[in-house]
Amino acid sequence: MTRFPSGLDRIRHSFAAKLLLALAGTVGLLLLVTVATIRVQTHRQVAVALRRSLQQSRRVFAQQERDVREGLASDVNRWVQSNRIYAALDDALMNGSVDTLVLATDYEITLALRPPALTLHAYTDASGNPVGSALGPRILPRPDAGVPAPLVRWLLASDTGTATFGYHLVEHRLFAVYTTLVANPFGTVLGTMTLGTAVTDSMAREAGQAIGAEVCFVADGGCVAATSAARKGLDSAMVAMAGVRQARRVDWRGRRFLLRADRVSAGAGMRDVWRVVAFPLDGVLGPFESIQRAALLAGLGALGLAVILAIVLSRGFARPVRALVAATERVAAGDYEVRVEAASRDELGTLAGAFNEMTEGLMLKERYRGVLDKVVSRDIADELLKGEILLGGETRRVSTLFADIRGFTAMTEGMEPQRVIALLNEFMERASDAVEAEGGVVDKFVGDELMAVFGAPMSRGSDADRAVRAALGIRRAMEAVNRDRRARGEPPMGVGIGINCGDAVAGNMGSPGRLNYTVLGESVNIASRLCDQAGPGQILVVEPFLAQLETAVDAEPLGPRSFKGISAPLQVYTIRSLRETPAVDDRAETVSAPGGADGSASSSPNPSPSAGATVAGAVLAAVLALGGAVPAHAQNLPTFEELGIGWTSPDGSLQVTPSGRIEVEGFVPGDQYRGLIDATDAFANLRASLFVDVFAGQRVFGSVELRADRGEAPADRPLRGRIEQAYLRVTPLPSANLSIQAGKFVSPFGGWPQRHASPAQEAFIRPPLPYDYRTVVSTTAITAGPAGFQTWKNRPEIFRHLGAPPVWAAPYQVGAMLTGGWKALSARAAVMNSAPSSEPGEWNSIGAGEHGPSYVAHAEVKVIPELRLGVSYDRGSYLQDQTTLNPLPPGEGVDHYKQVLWGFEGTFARGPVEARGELLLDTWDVPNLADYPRDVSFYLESKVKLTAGLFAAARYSGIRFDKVDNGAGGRERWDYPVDRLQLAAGYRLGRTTELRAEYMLNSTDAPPAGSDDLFAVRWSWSF
Amino acid sequence: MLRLRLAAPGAALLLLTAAAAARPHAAPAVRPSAALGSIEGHLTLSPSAPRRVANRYPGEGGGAAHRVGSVPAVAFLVGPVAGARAPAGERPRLSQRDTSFQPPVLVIPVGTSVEFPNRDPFFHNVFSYSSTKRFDLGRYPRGESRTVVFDKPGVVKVYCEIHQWMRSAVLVVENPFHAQVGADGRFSIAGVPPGRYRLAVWDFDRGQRVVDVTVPASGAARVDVRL
Repeated sequence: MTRFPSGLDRIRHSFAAKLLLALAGTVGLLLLVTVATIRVQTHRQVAVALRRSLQQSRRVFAQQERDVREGLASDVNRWVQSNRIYAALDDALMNGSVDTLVLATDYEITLALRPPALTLHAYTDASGNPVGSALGPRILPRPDAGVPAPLVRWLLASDTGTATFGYHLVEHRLFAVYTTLVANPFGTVLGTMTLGTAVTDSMAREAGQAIGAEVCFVADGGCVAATSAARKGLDSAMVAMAGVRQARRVDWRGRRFLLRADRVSAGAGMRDVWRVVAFPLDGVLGPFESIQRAALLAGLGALGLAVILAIVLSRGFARPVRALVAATERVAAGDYEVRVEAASRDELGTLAGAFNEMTEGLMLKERYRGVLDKVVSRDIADELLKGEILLGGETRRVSTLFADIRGFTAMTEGMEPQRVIALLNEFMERASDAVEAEGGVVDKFVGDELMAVFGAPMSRGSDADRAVRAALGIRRAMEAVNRDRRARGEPPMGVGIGINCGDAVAGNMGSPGRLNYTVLGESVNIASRLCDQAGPGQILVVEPFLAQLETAVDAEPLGPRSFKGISAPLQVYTIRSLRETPAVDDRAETVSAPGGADGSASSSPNPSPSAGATVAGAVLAAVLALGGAVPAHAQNLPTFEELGIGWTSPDGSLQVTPSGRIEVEGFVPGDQYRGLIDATDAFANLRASLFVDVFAGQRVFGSVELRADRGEAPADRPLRGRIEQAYLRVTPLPSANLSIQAGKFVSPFGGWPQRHASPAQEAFIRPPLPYDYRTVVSTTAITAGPAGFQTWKNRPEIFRHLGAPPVWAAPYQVGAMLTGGWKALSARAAVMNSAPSSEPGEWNSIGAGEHGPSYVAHAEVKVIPELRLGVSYDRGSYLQDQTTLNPLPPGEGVDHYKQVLWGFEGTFARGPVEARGELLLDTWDVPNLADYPRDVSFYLESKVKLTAGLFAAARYSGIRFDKVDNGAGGRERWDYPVDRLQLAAGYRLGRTTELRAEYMLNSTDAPPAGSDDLFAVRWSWSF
Repeated sequence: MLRLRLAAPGAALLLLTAAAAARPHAAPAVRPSAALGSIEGHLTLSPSAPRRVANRYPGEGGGAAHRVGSVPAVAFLVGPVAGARAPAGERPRLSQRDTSFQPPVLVIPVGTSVEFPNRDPFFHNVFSYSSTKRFDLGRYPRGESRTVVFDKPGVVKVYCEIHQWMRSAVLVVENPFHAQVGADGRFSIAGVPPGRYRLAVWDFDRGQRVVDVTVPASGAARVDVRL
């Protein structure tokens, strides 16, 4: 018995583990896919951004270098063509002094507004021998210090004398240098001149600002020019980049950079100069990281929620199971009075009910058995209860024991009857106990005689020995009784016992209505005779019986005696004692037998998660996998507009624009889906909509939507076509933002119907509860009064189809609407032919009928661009013209009973996150009820765009019901609360196609029990 | 920006032509002595093929229309010659006319001031970066003149910054013994007292070469110089 709790734990763990695995696995997978997608996208985007930055930086540097080179070329070309420079160089060459030359050039440098200290000029003769070098007016000690020898060599070697550009280091400073020939006007080449400008921090800064990065020019293992940040310590990492071809990431002062080195000059003999750019990564990575963080947080939140949900669900599952187990233990212990409370109406509730029925049955059986046990032996009762005892008989080898009280009649003479019965019962009880202790069956009591059988209805082996032991047991018991009696001064009871063994007929004897199990035969008669002959305390047997014994006994022969019906006299013995005690205690087997029930508890079927959830998980994974696998461009089906389908009048005043949408939906509802889907098996729905929009001038607009699908409340039924909407809108003053609309269009009440058809705005497939749950208020059935009304919530499910939701999904009703707007405020007022809760069949009538119209008002204000708040109101008759069940109160028509709805909505959208909420307050005027049943329904939802095209959304909605008079002096809630959780994910496969999936879980106590979830997928194509 | 592109033979021809056209120099004003010798020389101009500069701007400024001022080579004795002083004649002029310097080469004694009158109807800017005498006369219009005193012996190359083809040389000498080299390369310096001298032969583009020469009491010392 003690194994039950461990069995329970195993069940719980297994169930909790599966539930946890299913929920956390789905959410975790979603999270993983989301995060992985973001990561991949991040890498891709960062790579793209960096590639762009790199290209941009190369452009900027190339431009900067070009500017520097052109500036140098412009100056130096002008100067070398001026005869001052060649006159000065000529003099220097003639006289060996560069003073005049440096003076002359410095003069030009000053005129050109070049900073002298940062301007290098150097000269060679026509053979390339250095003549002199100077920084502005300062002549460098070594004449060759400023001469970029490789450039001069290339220049002099080239046929064309094309000037050359490069970089040269002078006094640890990097100069961009330009070298050209100096010739006199008559064509004589005097030598070369090099003009250089220092690559300064300000140049690095200028480029850095242009590309938004840190820049460092590296030469000779040092930073020769850099932006300020690079100067402040980043330079060491940047200097180390010289010669490195790959990009490197470094962290510096909490900021992340990507370093990239480019060689800015190369060639034999030229110094290597590296331009190292540090692109700041924070700006690029930041948005992605915040998305990733948000997704991760949301995902982890969802994961936590899933874990909590799993725990709560498994606990909710375990509690009744534990109660059941405890009850089972008590039943096992023999307490059949135990009852389990059936708290819920789900499978566990059903199980609890079944358990209660079972214990009831057990109790009844036990009661019968108790009675049986009292009248027949337990074994026989067992056999009888098993139904295995045949009416006929069978010949068995049985040992029969007879015991009776010697001198009973004399002893009881003059005794009070109660005391006689008490005396008899004392004997019978002791004797029965002794018999049963040895596995014998007390066959019957006849007067003061007890008859016991060993070996029937079943043999336990060693039946003769058992009989002897039983007899000895009776004798012992009687000795004890007699001790007590003597102590009380009462005469002792002498019991004589006879035992015999032999074939006898065993079976139920009597009429079918009253059977008596017994054994009959010669040997039985001998036992009876032996008993008659036995003196007080004697146990008489005949010789053949002793031969049957397996255990040796001490027996005293009493001599041969004759028995009636036996020809030869038989030797009779009286048994004194058994020589040895039996070693085997067979009773252990009988005790342990019930233990077999242990295994059944542990092998209880493990509740498997609902098939819908499994399918949902699988399909969700498939959708996500598909979404990731199908390239976007492959899904770019063309639209009507792109195909040029449409018509515009020659003067452009009339324009007809068709468009369409095809949606393929798959639904896997649970056992008991309570929304506006009339199915409990999986089915697919095709929804084809064709829109024709007509624009006539600026003032008139008409729109018609033809739709074919499997019903407004989709179900497994044939496709049906209908006009979903058809209306004409007139805008009298296009500038005034005022319009009048009439026809069949969606009711302006509430927020959800307005956007339900827009895939961009609505992330889910199914509506939230306020728009998708039938209450028990009916549009046709009239209740007789409060007491009857209170029973409606518990009526079979079929009756709920008579109930009306607060708003019937998106009701496309016939009506007229006035719309206006002013600044951030917009408002609509409409008269519709029926209440928002009315059935689709009511929507299409042109008139309102007897029940009268419904008046709707809606106002919305844009508080800030991200936040919109709205309020709607509706008042209208909800009863249909024809009502059933009970009559309306006398003198009242259907138009008297109104539904009043208030709706409050809010939308917040910023960046990739959207959040919405809506609260509906619903009041019904129900005939024959003094109270007004009210319900409150709401939803909160959030949608996150994870990456381009991919979104995930979650929505929680609920409906609560007020208490009304229950007709019995109390107040009671008129319907069960319902909660709904919707998780959706969608992926835009292309510009016009989208795939989304949704899993919905409903929770309620409303009957009937059954998993109430829904998995839905939808592929839609707008064209 | 003018740039004249000349082929080597063309330049030599031009120089020779210019030398031939030059006015013969006046005989040195040396007091005749008992015995005077002379120097007969020949200058061979190496047909140097100077590196050409690519004419990146053909035809710009009509550079080809201007002929670069040709300056004849000059031979002269270096250093003072005892008893022979260079004549301090009238104030010499190096005038700018028809965008050229007149005369192409001016030989003057040390300490002479030279006038640089502008005879053209536009600005000239005469300057020299030569170590012998560095000066910059700035821009001045027609009719104006500037004066420079040449106080050191040597060759002073004179240019106009505005008109780059204009050039000229002022040869500042310490003795009267000098001669222009003729178109045929010959030059002759007469009336030189016998003795050992250093003879410099100078060409505007090729620089100068100094050779030792011994002038006999009578007759001529023959010198062959290559530049």
